[in-house]
Amino acid sequence: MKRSSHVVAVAAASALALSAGPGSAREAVVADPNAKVEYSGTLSILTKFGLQQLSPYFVNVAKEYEKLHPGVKIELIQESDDSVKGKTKTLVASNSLPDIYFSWTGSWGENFVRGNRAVDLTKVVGPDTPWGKTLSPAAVKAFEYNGKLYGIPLYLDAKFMGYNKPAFEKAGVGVPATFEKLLEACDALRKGGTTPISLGNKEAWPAVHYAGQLLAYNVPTATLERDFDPARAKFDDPGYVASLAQFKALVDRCTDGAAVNGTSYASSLQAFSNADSAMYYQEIIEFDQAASADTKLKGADFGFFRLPPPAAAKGDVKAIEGAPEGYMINTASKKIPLAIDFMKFVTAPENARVLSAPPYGQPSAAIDGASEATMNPAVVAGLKDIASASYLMPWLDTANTPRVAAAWLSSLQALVGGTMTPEAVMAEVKKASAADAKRK
Amino acid sequence: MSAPSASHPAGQVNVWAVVARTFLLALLVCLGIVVLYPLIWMALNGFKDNSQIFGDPFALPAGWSWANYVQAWNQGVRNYVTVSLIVTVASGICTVLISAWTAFGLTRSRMPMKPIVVGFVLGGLMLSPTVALIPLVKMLQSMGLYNTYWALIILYTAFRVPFTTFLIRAYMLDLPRDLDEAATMDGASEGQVFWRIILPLCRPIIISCVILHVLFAWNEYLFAMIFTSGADLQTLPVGLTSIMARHGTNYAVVFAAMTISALPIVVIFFAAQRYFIRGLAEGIGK
Repeated sequence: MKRSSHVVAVAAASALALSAGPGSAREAVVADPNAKVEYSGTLSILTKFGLQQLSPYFVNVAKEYEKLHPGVKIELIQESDDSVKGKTKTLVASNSLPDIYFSWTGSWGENFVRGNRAVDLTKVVGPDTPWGKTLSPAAVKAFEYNGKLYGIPLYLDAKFMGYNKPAFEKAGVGVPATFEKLLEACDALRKGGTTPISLGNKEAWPAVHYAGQLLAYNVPTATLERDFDPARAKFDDPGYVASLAQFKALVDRCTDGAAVNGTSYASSLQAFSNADSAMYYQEIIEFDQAASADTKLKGADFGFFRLPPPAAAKGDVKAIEGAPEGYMINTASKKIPLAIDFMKFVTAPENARVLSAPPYGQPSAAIDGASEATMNPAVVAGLKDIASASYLMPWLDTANTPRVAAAWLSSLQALVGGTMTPEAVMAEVKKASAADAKRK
Repeated sequence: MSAPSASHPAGQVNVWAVVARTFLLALLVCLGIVVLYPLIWMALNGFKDNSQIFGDPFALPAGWSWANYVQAWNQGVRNYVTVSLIVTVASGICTVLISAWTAFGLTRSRMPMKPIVVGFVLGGLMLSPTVALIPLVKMLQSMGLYNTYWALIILYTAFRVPFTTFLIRAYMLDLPRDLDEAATMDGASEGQVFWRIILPLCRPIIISCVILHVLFAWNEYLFAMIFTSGADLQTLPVGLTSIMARHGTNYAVVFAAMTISALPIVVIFFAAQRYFIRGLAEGIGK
């Protein structure tokens, strides 16, 4: 995801602005589930749906809400993937953050929590609350910081290996059950003259996504989570080096090798859509784009599977790498109960189903938010896989601190290019983490 | 071609002059290609689709359908162009009028401590827009101008007045004072001297200033991104980024949108090339 690498760079520069801005002396605010909602006044929201095809979603939901509650006016600030970062930083620094604002999980969201800018929603959205029961538990948990819940997940995202069914049939391979079988399938596909996996690693985050999923398989979850925190990180689990060695084997046997560092992710997705490659590791929100009526690879020929775990994996083999994206509520807001009420309306099943279906195609985090009648069947099936996952492994480059994330990004690119060994990559990551620990 | 000179017998051509000229021509052609090719490539990609753009990036389009251009226009580019036009024209007029009036005052009137005032006005050139961002957000929010056309018009004017004043003042200094004196003797007021004598005489530099301002306001990104939100108020540079999605981008439409947005500037450039070059030269030389 392009976004995650950007987040790293921006987060590095903005951690200070987000947390230690003029509002660093703020007090923590806890949402009260029994607070009375006053349906009057203006509620402002900073969304990340500024894109042409997404922007009508919040506009329509706001209109419906205003119709239900005539005293309320919703003011939308809609930004795109890139502009939301600059906008958020400026609004935080000038103490004019709206009542509800968009946040990623990981270190971006943590900055709001550290600066006491996000309302503690544990009592409102926790797993045992009426609202919490309507949302995917793994998605709600992704916004957990210091044991408290701070975010309202709106949609889910996770990584799957998309494959070209006719190409698999032609090479006589089936869906691989283990990582080793995947490598064998690659050999068979290559013999048949097809590029097994198209990988474009120019942006560096695609390699990080592979590594993240393999780490979830090979390293116990508790160890992984400990290592996200530089103060406690050790990075001593043998699963780290094993994962990287597996990834290097995948690069060598399944992709174009070191050349992938010169290919963009967009062109590798296009290679898959043009049926020039047999597999492409993609996010669920890319399914509709990878195979459609306009692409050479048709919807019926598109299949997907979870990146298969290695046979000797010591971590959580039911984990999926992915993260929801969601919204937080401003502690300085004078309308916290109204803001919560509006977000309940946004995540209500009828609105959630609209969000999940085309043209928006953002798989809702609401449990009843998928409608098989209107959605791409592959996306519906993918959502079921996400729901059954035992753990949502956050993107490695957003879960770690910006410095450690930068170390992952650059050293994994070097690993793909053949200029670094798995051990050297881990040494680099450890060094970055130790430097962060010292700074804190 | 060099004509046969007196030192050469008739019919004999100076070989070195021909070689030098050929090299010069070749260099200019290469430079032309370097500048024009990306623009032509961008316009051509507007006629392709994603698979052609990635599969055969340098080939000519398979067909010449305007569908992508129409889609780009309807997908918001129309709005972005309108907003950019409003902001550019309004801020252009404000900037040039304020600057010309300021420059007139600074060159033609007697005032105490004039060098300090000149320094104060031109000191605005030193202020980086990025540094002023946060106070400006607070200020415009308290004035109720945040997320309006006025936010951009005021900011673009404020940040361009120093540079434009600098150019116009330099030009006005060279205008003979006899003209003002003659007009005053004929009974013209100071306002009339400005509007009827000095302003018409400054036409070349004013056109240069307008062009430089258009170039700035049309391409400005930071202020437009921070001070506006939503498709209704976005200018072209910000709007173009909202056509590009992380996933599911139709690059052909993006190229078409980029071509449409570049078109007005390219047309203005060719129409007013002379003033462009003068504007740049004045900026550097003075």
